[in-house]
Amino acid sequence: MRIISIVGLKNTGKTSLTSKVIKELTNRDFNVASIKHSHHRMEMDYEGTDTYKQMESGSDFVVGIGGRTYFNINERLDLERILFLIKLIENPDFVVIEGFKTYPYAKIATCEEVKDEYTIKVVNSFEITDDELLELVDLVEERSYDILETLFVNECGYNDASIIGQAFAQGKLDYNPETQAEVNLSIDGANIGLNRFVSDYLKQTILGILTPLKIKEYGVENFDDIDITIKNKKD
Amino acid sequence: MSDDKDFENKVNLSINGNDIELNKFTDDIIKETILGLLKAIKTSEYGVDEVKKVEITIDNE
Repeated sequence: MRIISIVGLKNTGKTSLTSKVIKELTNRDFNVASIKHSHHRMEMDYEGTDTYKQMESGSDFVVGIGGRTYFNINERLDLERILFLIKLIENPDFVVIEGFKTYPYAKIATCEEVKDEYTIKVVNSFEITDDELLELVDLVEERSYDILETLFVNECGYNDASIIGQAFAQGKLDYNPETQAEVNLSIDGANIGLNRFVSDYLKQTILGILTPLKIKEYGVENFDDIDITIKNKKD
Repeated sequence: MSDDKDFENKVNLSINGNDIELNKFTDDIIKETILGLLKAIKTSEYGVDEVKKVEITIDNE
């Protein structure tokens, strides 16, 4: 999973550029998730629907299931938490974020004013040509990276998560799947970085524990994807 | 990973008769994992109320 955000001041064409980038990534057969960041109250649901009535009645977590599934949570979640949950549920190839100026992920800026160490390119969203868009998405493939805590950083001389993020964004480090932890850990909502040893250790210990279980009785043949959550209430 | 030279090993590991050196972090992680696994076992039925010394050998042939 790699993350790219499109940032800029108001009315600089963020939304149209976000749509173009999503479209081109899906043209390249990538699975894409996207996030819209707003400082205002946002509603996807509207008056009159059954799910709207459920939320109005006081439900804090409404799920609508039909041709699609959507969650409507009455809470503002942190970006890091949302990224972790997207990884848990879908693990898409790319997450495209519209907004979130101050986060440590690769960015495309739609104006000079918001340019920083994570900016891979400043683009005039209103005048970008088709060829320039292709080049931009090439750059997105090259420079964007996963949730910082899920990358191994101690083997390449970079130890600080924000420094490694900037190194990826500036093209000084190449993202490759080998730098990706297989174990993703979150404790009390915070993503916890693991080095290669701890990731392997957790993986092998848990696989060791799971192997004797009769998983076939549950229709499970392989251990491709394991989700465990622990509610640590009693000793 | 901290490599504290002055620490005292709590875990002795031998594989095929070869003593394996463990640094503090690995010593800790093995100890805590095994103690965690043992907590789930009803050891008090065997007269064990406190875990003071654990010996495990694994025949992996």
